[in-house]
Amino acid sequence: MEAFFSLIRFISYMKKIFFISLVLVFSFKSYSQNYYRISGEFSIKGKAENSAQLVMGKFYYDKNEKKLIYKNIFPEKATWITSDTNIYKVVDNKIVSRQTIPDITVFSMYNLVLNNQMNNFGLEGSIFKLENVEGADGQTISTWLPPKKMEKIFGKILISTKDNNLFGIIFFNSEDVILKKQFFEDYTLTNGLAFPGKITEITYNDGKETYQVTTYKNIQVNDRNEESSYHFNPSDYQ
Amino acid sequence: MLLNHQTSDMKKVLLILCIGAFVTVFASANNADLFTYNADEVNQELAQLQNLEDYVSANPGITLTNLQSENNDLVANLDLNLNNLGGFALSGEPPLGIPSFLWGCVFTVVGVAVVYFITDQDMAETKKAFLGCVVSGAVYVLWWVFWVLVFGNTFWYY
Repeated sequence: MEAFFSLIRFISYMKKIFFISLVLVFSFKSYSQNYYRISGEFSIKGKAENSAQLVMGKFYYDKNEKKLIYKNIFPEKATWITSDTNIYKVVDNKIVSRQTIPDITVFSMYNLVLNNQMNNFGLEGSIFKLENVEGADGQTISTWLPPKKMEKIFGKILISTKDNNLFGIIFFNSEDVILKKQFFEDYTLTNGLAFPGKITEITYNDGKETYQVTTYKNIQVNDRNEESSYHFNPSDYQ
Repeated sequence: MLLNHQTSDMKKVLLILCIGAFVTVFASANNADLFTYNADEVNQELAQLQNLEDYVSANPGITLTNLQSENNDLVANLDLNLNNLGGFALSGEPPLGIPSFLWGCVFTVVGVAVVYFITDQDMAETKKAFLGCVVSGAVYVLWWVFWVLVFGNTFWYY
């Protein structure tokens, strides 16, 4: 009889362990959701002293493909693809130019977003060291300093976060003069992934300010509806 | 006598703490104040481009060539042309030959790392690339990549 009750208790324990394991597994799975691709519509408006630019289109990035694909609709219909050490321009399904560039395709904001590294701008684990963290006006502001041997090249970087999202970055030169400010605003959540809807950049040069605003909308995360848009094979466009 | 001495020490400590707190609060306020900009001024400066963007959105398929050929007022006073895809650089040349709109989208100060790496750690080139990147486009860099490229760590999250 006692053996029977022991067996019942054992089964009861096993049930609990199984249930807890199940909860843990699902919790872990939902927490570590794998974000691997992102796309959306963008526009970049910028104005300098003697020039202006407006570029509109859609971008596609899949971190496994390591290709950045821009399907621009303005100022001209053209697709720009960065792949390995090449940047291709495709017009009317033909490659009209190819340029060799350093392989920097994976080093992008989109990677930061997909890897949840936007908040510290990827500075954590870099050569920049966190000097100070302070809170003010609803912001958390961290100060990052370059290593001693590079103090003549780089200045400090200030990063501000608001509501757990990157809000602003300020770059200084080695003389502690502001080079550039960037503001990340109008975040949207897509499948749990936060992405800025508007990025405002103010560049300071020789006492003048230059403005550039990038907007994003209709962000898609892990999209499978436009599968072919995330891939590029140069041989298909000869 | 001993009590007076201790009181004096306490006053000094309190004074130092107060000064420290004041300096910290003051510094925080200063840094927070830096994270502001005049949105109206930015909007005003880019108003004509915003009008153009709205027009393009409302007229799918229209290109700059179309607008120029019909002498559209929206592009009349804008020095807007296809070559501007490579403009906006400090030196007139886009950093690393990459069109500026791409810098604006994604590529940023990682160029510093690349130049630093491919030019055998030439400081002048590095500085030039850094300024080029900062002035020409957005700066969303994976700074850790710099560390990886220069010192050979592994790409741990791929």
